[in-house]
Amino acid sequence: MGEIKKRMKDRLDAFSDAIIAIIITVMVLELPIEKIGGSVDYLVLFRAIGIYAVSFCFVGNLWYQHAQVFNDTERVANKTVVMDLIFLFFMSLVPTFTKLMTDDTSKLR
Amino acid sequence: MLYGTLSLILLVVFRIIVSQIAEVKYSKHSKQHEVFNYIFARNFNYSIAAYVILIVLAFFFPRIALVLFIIIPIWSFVENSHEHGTLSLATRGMEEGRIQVPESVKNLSPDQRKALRAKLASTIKASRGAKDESQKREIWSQFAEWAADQR
Repeated sequence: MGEIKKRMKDRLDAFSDAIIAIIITVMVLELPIEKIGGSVDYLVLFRAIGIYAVSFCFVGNLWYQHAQVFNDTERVANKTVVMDLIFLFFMSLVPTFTKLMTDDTSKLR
Repeated sequence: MLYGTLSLILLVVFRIIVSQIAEVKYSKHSKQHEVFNYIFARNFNYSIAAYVILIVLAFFFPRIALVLFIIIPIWSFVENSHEHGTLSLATRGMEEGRIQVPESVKNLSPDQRKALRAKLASTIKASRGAKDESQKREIWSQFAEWAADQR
């Protein structure tokens, strides 16, 4: 039973790392590159990069804490697996909310 | 505001995960568990409170809130990595009997707790740099003397 829980913890670690890596990749891909008269709108781009930095710091910090906490334990309870999946669900919404915030601030001139 | 709410939900869920892992790792009423709750997990509570204030602030001053949204994770990152290092080594110290934790860290005032953390961190750092076991013992006995003087 202990071995199963240990393997589950390893799988959960790998799954969480993969999801978090994908989240950051998606956020970068959603950076808007708008062109006005053939040239890039740098104001919009830099604002979006600023908001991306906020999300990157937030996700990076959560990944770091997640890694620290999970490195400290050799096995996880089933309820922790469920909570971790809920955590990853909400975390996967970060790119969408980042895009929303980018769109909102782009309207501010 | 929505972003702040999502951040808050994530912090609360993560706080639950941390508590569950602490329960698995340490027995519920052990000293380590107590130290974990009163020293390490405290930062989460500060972050949660900060995000609640930020959500309200974001409604009226979105630009200021945006800057604070950057600062909080960075502050939290620095603070937590320091606290976590201290906790891991303190736990090991308790297990090996080098550190004797008072009956209840609940009784310590916030200032005493802060001083204890700082002293513990500097002792651990010095202990890591010790050349041999006798020097290590000397460093920890100095810490024990300091702790005794604080009573």
